[in-house]
Amino acid sequence: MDVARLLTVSVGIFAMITAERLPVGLLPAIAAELGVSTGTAGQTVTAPG
Amino acid sequence: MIAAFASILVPLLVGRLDRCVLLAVLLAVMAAASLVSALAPAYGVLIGSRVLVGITIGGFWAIAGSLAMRLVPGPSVPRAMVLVFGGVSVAAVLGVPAGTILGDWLGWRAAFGALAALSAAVLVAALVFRPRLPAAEPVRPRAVVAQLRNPALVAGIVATALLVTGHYGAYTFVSSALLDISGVAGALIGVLLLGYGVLGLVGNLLAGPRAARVPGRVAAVIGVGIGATLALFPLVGATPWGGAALLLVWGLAYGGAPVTLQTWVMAAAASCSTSRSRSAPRRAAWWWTHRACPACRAVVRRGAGAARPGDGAAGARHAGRPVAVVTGPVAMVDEPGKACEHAEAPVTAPDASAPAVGRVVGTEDSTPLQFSVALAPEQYLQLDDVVVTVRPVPGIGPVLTAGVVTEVRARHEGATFGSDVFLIADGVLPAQVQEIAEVTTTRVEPECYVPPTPGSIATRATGEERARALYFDQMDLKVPVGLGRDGDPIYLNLEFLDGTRGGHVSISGISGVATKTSFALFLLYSIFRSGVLGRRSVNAKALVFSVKGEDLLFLDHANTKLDEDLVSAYATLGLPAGPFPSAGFFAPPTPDDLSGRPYVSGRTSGVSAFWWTLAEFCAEELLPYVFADAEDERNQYTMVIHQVAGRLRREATPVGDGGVLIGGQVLRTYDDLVEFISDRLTDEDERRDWAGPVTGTGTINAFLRRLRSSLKPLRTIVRGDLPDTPGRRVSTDGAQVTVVDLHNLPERAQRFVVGVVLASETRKKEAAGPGGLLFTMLDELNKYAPREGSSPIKEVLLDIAERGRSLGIILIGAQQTASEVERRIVSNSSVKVVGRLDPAEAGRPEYGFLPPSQRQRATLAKPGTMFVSQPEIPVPLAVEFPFPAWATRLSESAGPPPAATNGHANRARDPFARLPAAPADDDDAPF
Repeated sequence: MDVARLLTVSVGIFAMITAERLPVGLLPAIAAELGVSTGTAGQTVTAPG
Repeated sequence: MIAAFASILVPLLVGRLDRCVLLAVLLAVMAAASLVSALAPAYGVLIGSRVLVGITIGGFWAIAGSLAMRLVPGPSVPRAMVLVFGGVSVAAVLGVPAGTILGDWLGWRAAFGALAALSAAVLVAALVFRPRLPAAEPVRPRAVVAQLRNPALVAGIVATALLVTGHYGAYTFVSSALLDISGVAGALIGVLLLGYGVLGLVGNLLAGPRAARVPGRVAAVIGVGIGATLALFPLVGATPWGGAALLLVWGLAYGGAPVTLQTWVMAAAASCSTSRSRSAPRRAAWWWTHRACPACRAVVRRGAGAARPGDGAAGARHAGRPVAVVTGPVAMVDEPGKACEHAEAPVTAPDASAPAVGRVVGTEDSTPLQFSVALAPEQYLQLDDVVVTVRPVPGIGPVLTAGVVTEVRARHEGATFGSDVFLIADGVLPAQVQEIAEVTTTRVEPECYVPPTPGSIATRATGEERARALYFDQMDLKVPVGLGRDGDPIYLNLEFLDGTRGGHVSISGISGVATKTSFALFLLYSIFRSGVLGRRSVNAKALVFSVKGEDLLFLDHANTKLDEDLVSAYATLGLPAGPFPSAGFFAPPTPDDLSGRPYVSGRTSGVSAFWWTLAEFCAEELLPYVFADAEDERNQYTMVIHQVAGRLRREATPVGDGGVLIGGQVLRTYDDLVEFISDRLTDEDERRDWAGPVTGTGTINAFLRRLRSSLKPLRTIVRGDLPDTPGRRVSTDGAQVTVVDLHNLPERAQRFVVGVVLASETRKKEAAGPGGLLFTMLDELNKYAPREGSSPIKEVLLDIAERGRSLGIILIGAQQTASEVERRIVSNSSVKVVGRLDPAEAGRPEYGFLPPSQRQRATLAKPGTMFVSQPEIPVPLAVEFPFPAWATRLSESAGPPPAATNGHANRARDPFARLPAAPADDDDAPF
C-alpha cells in the first residue's frame, strides 16, 4: 500500500515536471498549426514556468 | 513566472488544508489544463491552459518538501525520498524527449493528450490510495519577507534569476533552432534532447561537490559556459553535427546550474545553516539531493529538473569514509528544523522582532531542564545570557522555556583529526565552525515540562521576556544587586531578605579578591536607597562590624573616583550614586589614654569611642563573653564563669563614671576587677561562695589563668575610668548604618564586642517587637560561628539565624570558606553569594547550589563579579556590582560628610566634657 502511495506521488511528480517543459520539443509544430510565430509559441513554456 | 509566484502564494492561501486534498485538486487542474491544451482551437486558449499548469506546478512545489516524510513511517523515509524524487530525475531526462518524440510521431496535440491522460490516471490513483498528508504549520508571510532582508541571499536570487532566465530564453526555442539553424531532422530532435538530459546529469555530478565549497565560482563557470555555447551557436551550430555537439555541451553546463545556485542561495540564507549535516561532503550531498526546500524552490525552481537524489553523492568521501547517498536526505529529514525559514517547520519565535540567535539543536538531547542551542552565523551567546524558546503544545498552547547559558562550545564540524585544523584554516578542507550553547532552564511557562523541540528558534531574552525568565515579574519588591552580563539589572526578591519569606545572606570568597565586604555594603546601599523598603526604611538599620582596617569609616564621604560612567551604572540599577546618607561610626578608645579618644588614624571626626563600663559588665553579666573561644567551652570552668558573673551582678553597685563598689572596694579598671575576682577565688573562705561549693582548685586555677589572659585585650574596652558619655554605647539608633571598627582590637576583644553587641541588639529587638529591620553584617563568620564546638557568640548567631528572621534581624555573613561555618547558619541563609573561590573550596558540598560550570568559573571570578543564588531562581546569576560610590579610604574621600551623621560623636570626644563648666543639656541624646 505504501509503495502504491509513493508511486502515485512519484508519477505525479513526473507528470508535473514533464508538463512544465513539454512544449519545448513541440514549439515548431504548435507555431505552425496555430499560426503564430515561434517566439509567441515560446510563451507556452515561459508563462507557466 | 506563474509557478514562482504560485509556490509562494499557494501555501499562504491553503493554510492547514489537508495536503492530500490539495494534491488531488492540483492533479485534477493539471489533467484538465492539459486536455484543454490538447484541444486548443486557438493560441489564446493554449496560453490560458498553460497558465493553469503554472499554478499547479507552483502549488505542488510548495508542498513537495515534506511529502515523503509524511507518507511513510520514520525508518522508511530515505527509500521513500529516493522513490519520490526519482520522479523528478526521470522527468528531467525522459519527459521532454518522450513528449517530443510523441509529438513528432502523432502531432503535438497527442503529446498534450497523453499528459492529460497521465495526470488523470495519477488523480485516480491518488483518490484510491489516499496518501495521507496531514497539514503542517502554515507558512507565515513574515517569514518569507524576513528572508529578503539578507543581502547575500538577494544576490544569490538575482544571480539565479539572470542565469535561469538567460538559459530558458534560449532553451525554449531549442527545437526551432535545431530544425532551422542546424538542419537536424525533426525525428532526431527528441533523441538529441534525451542526450541533453543525460549530459545534464553528468553536469550535476561534476558541479555538486565543487558548489558545496565555492558556489559563486562554479556559478560563474556555468554562466560563461552557457553564454559561450549560445554565442557560438550561429557559427558552429550551422551544421547538424555542430548543433548536436553544442546542445550536449549546453546540457553539461546547465546540468550543474540548479545544484550550484541552490547551494549558493541556501548557504546565504543564514537561518538554513542549522540544518547542515556534519561534514562538508555530506553537506554537499544534502544540498544536492535536497531539491524540495519548498520556498527556496520558489527562487531556484527551474533547476528542479536536474535535481536527483541518489545520483550525486556517490563520490562523496571524507576522511576515507564514503558517504552513503541516502545519508543526505536522512540527515535532513531527521532534523525537523530542516530546510530554511520558508519550510513548513513551525515558526516559533514568540516575538518576531526578538533577535534570533540560533535554533535548538537535535544532535544533543533536549530536555525540559537543559537544552542546547546552535548559534546562527554572526550570532553569539555568552555564559549567563538569557535565552527563550517557545514550543506549541496541543491543548495547552505555546509553552515558553527560558534559561540561562551555562556553557558554550565552538568546534569544527567535519574535522576528524587534530591536524585538520591547519587544512581548514588554509581553506583546503571544508568545515564549518559551529557554536553550541548549553542552556539550563530557569522557567517553563505555563508549567508543562516538555523539552524544547529541536529546530525551534531560540532568541536572546530582553525586556519583559528576560524579566519573566528570571522571575523578576513575580517580585513585588525587588532589590537591584548588580548588572547581569547583558548590562541589565539583576534583582533579589526583598521578601527573601527582609524575613517575609526568608532572610540572611551568606557571602563566600577568598579575602582580597572576592570583594565580599564591598558587595555586602552595596547590597545594603541598594536596600536603603532603591526605595524598595518604602516607609519601612525609617526603621531599617544596618550594623556593620569592620575587621579590615579603616576602609568602612568613609561610607558617608563621596568618592572622588565617581565619574559619569559610574553614575550611569547606578542609574541603570535605579540607584542614586552617592555616599550613605546616614552613618555612625564607633571605634575602641585609644589605649593608655584617659581622654576617650577613638583609636582611628584616618578619620578625624564623626567617630565615637565605645566601651563598656564596669557597672555594665557586672550588671549585664558580660563575663561569659570574655570566654568566647571554642576552647573555653571544652573546659570545666564554664560553671565558674556563670557563678562569678551572677555574683558580680548581685553585689556590684555602680559609682560615678562607670566604676563599681563591691566588697567595700571601688573598682575603676578591668585590671581592678580581675584582681578582685582572683582575690575572692583564691581566698579559702570565699571560694565556695564565689565559685560554687564543689569546684576544685584545678578548675579555678584554669579559670583564673584564662581570665588573666583577657587583661590585655579587654582593658581598653571594659573600664570605669573614663567619663561616661551617651555616645560610647554601641547603638544603631543614631544612624541608618552603624559601623563598628574592630580592626585595632585583638581577636579576643573582637569576639567580646561582637557577642555583646549582637546579644544586646537581639534583646532590644525582642523587647521592641516586630516592625523594624536590622541588617547585621559580620565578616569572618567562621571565626564567630565555627562548625565545631560552641560558644556564647555562636549561640547568639545561631539564635539570629534561626529566629532572627521573625525578629527582624537579618544576618549578612561573610566568610572565606562556607565549609568552616556552622551548617545551620549557612542553611538558614536564603540568599547565597559567591565571589572568587579557592579551587579546593569550590568543590565542597556547601557550594552544591552552583552548577559545575559556575563552580569552575568562581575560581576565576574577577573582583566585582559575584554569583547570586536566591530561592526563586534555580540557577545562580552572575552579577557585576558597580564600584562603590562612597569613599573606601581616606584618599578617595571627596570631602566632609553630610550633616546628618550621628551628633553624639563629637561630644564623646569633647575633652572638656568632664569639666563642671560643661553645660548639662549638652549631653542629652536626641534618642
